[in-house]
Amino acid sequence: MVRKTFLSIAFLLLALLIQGLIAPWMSIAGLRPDFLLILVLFVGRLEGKVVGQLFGFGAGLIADSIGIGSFLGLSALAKTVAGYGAGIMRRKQRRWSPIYMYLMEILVVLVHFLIIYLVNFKGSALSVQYIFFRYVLFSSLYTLVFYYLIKHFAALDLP
Amino acid sequence: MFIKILRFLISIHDFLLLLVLMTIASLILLSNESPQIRSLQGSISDALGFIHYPRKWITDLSGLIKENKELKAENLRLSLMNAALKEAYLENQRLRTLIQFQDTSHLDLIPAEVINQGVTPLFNSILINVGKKAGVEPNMAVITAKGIVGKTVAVGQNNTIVQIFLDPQFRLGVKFQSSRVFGIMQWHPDGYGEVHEIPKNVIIYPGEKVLTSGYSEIYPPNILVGEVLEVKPAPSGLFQIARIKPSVAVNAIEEIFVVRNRQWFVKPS
Repeated sequence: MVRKTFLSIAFLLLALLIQGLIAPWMSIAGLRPDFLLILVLFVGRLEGKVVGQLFGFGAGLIADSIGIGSFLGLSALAKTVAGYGAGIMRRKQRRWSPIYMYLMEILVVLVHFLIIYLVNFKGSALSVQYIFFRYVLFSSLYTLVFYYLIKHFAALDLP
Repeated sequence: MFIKILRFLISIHDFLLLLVLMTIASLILLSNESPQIRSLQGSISDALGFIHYPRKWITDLSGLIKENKELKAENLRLSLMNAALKEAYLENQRLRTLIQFQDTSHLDLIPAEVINQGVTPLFNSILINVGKKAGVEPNMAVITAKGIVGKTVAVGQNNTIVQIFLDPQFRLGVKFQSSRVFGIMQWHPDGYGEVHEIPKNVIIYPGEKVLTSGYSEIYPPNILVGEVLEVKPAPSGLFQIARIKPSVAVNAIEEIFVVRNRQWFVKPS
């Protein structure tokens, strides 16, 4: 438990560093992958809904506080939902087919970015469709690419 | 029951935790001052506006009770005001009639108001607000635009008691307008005037106007007294009796005139 906690904190610090220092260099058309979200997804998948959402809330709040995120509380909100969604998959991974798991992962990431961008562009003249295809979908795909790469190379016991 | 609820809450503890965390995150988010968050707050207010309806409904309901009470009070106040205005309107109408009457009358009239009724137990009377100071003397005729009322009997400096025609002792010389018959009218306890000793060969029709005869030192001639209600034979069989409905409703009069001059009457030499 203590080891897991320390590992989580260590990975959180690493993710914050990557997000703050490296991700800006990976920006494509102003969009970058969300390594913090990737960490939340892994924690949720491995530890379940309660730990996943608590970790997502804490990580998001820290990210917002140090300026990596957006408005204070926005990343916390989005990553809490993502942590919960990832935690659902932990209990279902033995019953759901891999396809469902992939779809669920995509859905969780989409919902996360949907929350982020809809709030970010709230009050602007941009339509929801434009926000979705230009920002949400692209950011989700960009993040999912890194998620699957990390999952593959880290050889985590995940479907 | 409590255990069941507790078990249910434990079974959904992860979902409850999600709600708590989302609420905290949302509260933190909504504390931002940026235009986007202000816009978001507006959208949330719009979306969740229905939550306020029950409270608003209750507030409105309690407000309605209070408002209803206030409206009732206002209604009463307006009703009273309306009654006062109606009163003023009717008074205005009466005064207009009286002014016209005063202008067209050749009589020297003292306007007065009735300030009390039945002031003496000895006879049917009213109290008016003019007296010696205004030139009123005993035995002056008191009239309205509608007809005869009575005569002055007791005159003070500022008030006068008037014996009205409802008194059984009241006598008045009258004439029937169409048939030109003269007679003495006296009051009957059943509420009508009666003229006795009308010759049987005279035809008097119900509805005929009855006027003052002018053969009096007190009452000027041709003042309306009333109209014939019915004519019936006297018990003796030689005469007939005319019942007269008075033109003036004494209980309703307020403005009257005292007739000061007596120039119509010429004393026999």
